[in-house]
Amino acid sequence: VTLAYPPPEHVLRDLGFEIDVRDDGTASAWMRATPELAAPWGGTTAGVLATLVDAVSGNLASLAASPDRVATADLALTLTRPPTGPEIEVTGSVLRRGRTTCVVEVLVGEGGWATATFAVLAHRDATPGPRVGAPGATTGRRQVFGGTGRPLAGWIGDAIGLTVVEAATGVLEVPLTAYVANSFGALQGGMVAFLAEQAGAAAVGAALGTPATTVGLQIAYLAQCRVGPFRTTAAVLDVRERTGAATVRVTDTGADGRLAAIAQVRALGIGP
Amino acid sequence: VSELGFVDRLIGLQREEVSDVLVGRVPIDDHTRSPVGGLRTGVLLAAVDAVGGMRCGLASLPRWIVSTNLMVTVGRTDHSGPLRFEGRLLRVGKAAGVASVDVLDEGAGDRHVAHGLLTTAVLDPEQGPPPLARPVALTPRPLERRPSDLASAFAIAEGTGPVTTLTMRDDLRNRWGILHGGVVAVLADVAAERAIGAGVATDTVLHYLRPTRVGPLEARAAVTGHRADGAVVAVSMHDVGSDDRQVALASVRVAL
Repeated sequence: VTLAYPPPEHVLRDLGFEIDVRDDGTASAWMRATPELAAPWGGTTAGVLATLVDAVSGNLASLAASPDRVATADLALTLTRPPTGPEIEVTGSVLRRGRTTCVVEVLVGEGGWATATFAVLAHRDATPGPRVGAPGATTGRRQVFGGTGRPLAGWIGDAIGLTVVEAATGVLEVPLTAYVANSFGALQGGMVAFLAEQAGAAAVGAALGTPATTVGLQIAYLAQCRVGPFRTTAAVLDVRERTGAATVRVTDTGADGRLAAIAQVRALGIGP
Repeated sequence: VSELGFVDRLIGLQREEVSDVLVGRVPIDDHTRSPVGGLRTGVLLAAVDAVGGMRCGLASLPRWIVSTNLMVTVGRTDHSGPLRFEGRLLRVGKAAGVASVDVLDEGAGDRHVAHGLLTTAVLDPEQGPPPLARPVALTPRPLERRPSDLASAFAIAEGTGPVTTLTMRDDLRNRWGILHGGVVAVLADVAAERAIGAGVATDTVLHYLRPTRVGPLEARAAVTGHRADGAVVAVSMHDVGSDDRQVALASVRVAL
């Protein structure tokens, strides 16, 4: 038995990703760059790009690991220019498929680079897991990732219920809803990355005294965000001139504050 | 080659177990100093790898670990030194372990200057885990003679164009007989700076994909792009003597 994921009302559908997974171990994915996904420097926000990277690399890793399953262990994204539209293309390839991990490299538009590491989980007949996104049986064809959704009516942060509690310390919160849940019922990994990069950019921006945009994001996933609401805290390492870095902790307040992810964010100040 | 091999001696890395924290200390010597006065980022990466790796390894006993992925954000490169590395376990399971390493500048009032995340794979080494007395307290023998520069001490030399080459030497291997992960990190740092021709390496993501067994190890650098805070360089590393297979991949930000 396989379960379809994502469900009809889901952020992955509304982001409008399209994906083409090829049999040669490579894949491409596309997304529309819309104002609802924009970062302060004009390009699409790093957290949404991380979600796209997670989607394309996850499909590649799933194919490479089949019949075993995979779960994102960490993700790194570096941008050197604002990825702008009307359409952003990413291209991924499997670097290594080992016994316990699978590593995927992803080129993001022009001047962007990402990697994702997946833990390989042994296949169990009793729990085959959900069918995620573009199924491997239809490789070699560009198709909508996860099914058609509705265009976002406003900023993605508002769509997922993100609230900024205190920008200077990077305290942000987001609840767990079916709209942002992954196939395990926890907060989807791309949304965890989005939450973390928003928190890091908020803290760096507050320290710089200007809006800041994330240009570097490294995140390690430590546990599923199962209960919520999920809260971030950020510690700024340093700011100088127009750049700064912060470390961000993502905790599950409904699970005794369990540390669910830890991220490193590099952000650039935007403005005069 | 023991846990206290040439690499630990070269960078002066001390490690001790303090409760559940693995604490490392690294001085800033002439051969490990960057052009802006702090510890070279490659050395900082090597220390994060060693401290985080030992923290994960101790949590995995009687098994041990190999590093698979190193992610470091560098806030400041102008350190007073020595630097203290505090490695804490974030997670350990049957297959993988993750450690967080905070890097503090003791000479600047414990200023937080960098943060590292190390992911490791847990395995069953044939010869067992390293023979370590607990609590761990490791101090390397001082070098008989300090090298003039880090690159030559690690047998790193300029290659053709964007290629930087490391010649394998037995004292650069770890106790498993493969190239020490810290040496790979230093090579990524040197290759990235060479590709730009100026500046200092800072934020780095380094994937250890496969062991380097034969050598020479070629680091092939390509500039990903420039932005307001510097340039980003991708460094792909290949074990030429093992059918040129790719053994590591790094992305390095070079601050200008």
